[in-house]
Amino acid sequence: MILNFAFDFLSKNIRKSLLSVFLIVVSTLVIMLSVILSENRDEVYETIDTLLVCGVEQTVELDINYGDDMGLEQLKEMQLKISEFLDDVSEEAEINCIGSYSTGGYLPIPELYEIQKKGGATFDEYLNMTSIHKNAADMFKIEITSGTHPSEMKFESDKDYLYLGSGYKDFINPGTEYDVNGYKFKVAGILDESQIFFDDNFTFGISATSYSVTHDMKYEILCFSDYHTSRFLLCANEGYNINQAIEKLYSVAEKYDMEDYILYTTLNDKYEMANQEWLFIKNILYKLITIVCISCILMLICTHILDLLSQMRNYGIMYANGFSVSDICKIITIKNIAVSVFAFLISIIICLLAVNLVFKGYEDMSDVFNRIIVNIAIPLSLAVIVLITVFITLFSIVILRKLSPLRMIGGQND
Amino acid sequence: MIKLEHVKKDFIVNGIYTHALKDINAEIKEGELIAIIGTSGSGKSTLLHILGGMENMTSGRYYFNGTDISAYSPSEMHLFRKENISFIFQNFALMNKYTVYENVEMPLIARKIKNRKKIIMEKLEQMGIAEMKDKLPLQMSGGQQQRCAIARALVTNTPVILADEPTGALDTNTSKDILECFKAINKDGKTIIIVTHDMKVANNCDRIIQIEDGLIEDRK
Repeated sequence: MILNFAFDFLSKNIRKSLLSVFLIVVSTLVIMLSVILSENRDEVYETIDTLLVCGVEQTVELDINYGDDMGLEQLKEMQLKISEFLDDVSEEAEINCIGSYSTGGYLPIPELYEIQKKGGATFDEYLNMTSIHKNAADMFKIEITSGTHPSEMKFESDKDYLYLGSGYKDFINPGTEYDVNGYKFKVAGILDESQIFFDDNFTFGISATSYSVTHDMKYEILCFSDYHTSRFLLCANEGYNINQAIEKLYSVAEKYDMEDYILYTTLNDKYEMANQEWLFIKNILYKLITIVCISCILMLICTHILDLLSQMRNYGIMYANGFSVSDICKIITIKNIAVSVFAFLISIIICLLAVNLVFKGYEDMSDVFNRIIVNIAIPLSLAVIVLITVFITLFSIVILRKLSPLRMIGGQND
Repeated sequence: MIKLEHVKKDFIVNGIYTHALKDINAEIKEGELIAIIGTSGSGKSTLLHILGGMENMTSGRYYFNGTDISAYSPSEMHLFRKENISFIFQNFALMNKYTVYENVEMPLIARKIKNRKKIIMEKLEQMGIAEMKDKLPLQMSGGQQQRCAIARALVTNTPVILADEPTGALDTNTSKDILECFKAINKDGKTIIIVTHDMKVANNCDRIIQIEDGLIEDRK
């Protein structure tokens, strides 16, 4: 009976009910959004920390810039010099590994390209590959399902070694070799389905989401080669800190007369710098979120007060016709709970869709759901909704108990 | 049936103490049709609300069928009202988003009475508005709305019906019709107490209680 009346009141005042639902959805989503955004910063850090075997604290990004006004011969000489320099550096005890990586279009291998097309090929006819220097085989966390792991691979200098995404596993076997215009490639392994890798526009720490830092590797290819680009990562060895590794790097560079070409930034510094920018953005964002949230809550309270006033006559009529005040209070409570639960469910669905989008590239989605959504966002939003519902319900009950049914109906005392 | 002894009711409005009822003594017998008249602010509606258990009195005794109900708790008073009293208001007090049928059904729902349809249709037919059962109150005339309110008061079969200015919002002819309705209900044995300032209505009642300045005076 009470339930019927509660839902009847909701359906007969559908516009007000929907407005309440909308306001609760907005405030809940705003709260969830703020949690996701603040937590996501840690996700970015952790994603990169996990992907680098030595971790963020032990890694530095190097920029070896030798200018662009060199002739072809000079360039070749420089490449050779850099190669020797890097080989020397990687021999030092302080340094775990040093190597470059870059993503781009590589020589066509039609058999692989046809498969890559399913995942949305980036280039026409050319394979999209992430090229990693063989010296950096131990630098990235790479998981394979078949073939030989890069850290155990005995790389030969005359060929490049391919690690194919899980999308290739039913078509290509490890050991397959290709010869394209004299360049030799060998499929060394198939990557695990969970494998992710840095995006080519990897700007560590600045991106707002891990989605823009990494991507999944289903139709991607990692290519271990002798080719160097100008951007490198260097990892310090266990037992040494990153500063000792950098010191050693510069002492070796001096021998090659290259110390002026090398610029470095530790990933931790980059993260902190980016965090400063993020803090500023976050500050503004949180202010906006607070304003939106408070406005929604105030509007919600006003909507409920207006609803209470407009329903007051009906409550008075019910009271005068045999319903008790507690019956009416129950109706109001059920009504408020129904609106809140409905709004909360909608918010959760929207939030889950949003999280799915924001954390698309993240390694372990269930971990994200558990840590951010289940442990923080949902309890926090639920607490706010419960507080609002309790406040509004208590407010309504206090008002109802203070007024006589005649005043509710609009009767006079003379 | 109803006996009031030295009933007083004081209000404090904006810090000003008002004696709405000063010393009311009255007795109402079962099956009577009574009019309470008085000028505006005389306390007639306050008396009606006290009779209906909708307002507490400041002091005095209220006996209903020999039982002193003056000290009833709110829940006891609610039960008393549910079993014995039905209200009819000047502004009809119908829920505008509910149909005539649903409005009449409401007191039965509150009393958890089953087989409601038969009772409702019987009363709607008695009031001559059975064919309007699916209409909303605002789609009906004032007289029809008041008939609906009377049907709602009748469905619970309470012994006492209290009507606060039931013809106040109606024209002369409709008022006459409504008065006839009250007379017919009264003949069935219901005790009806009507607050009115319309002497035509009052003169058709068995007895008139006049209230002036919070004090009662029997007229007839």
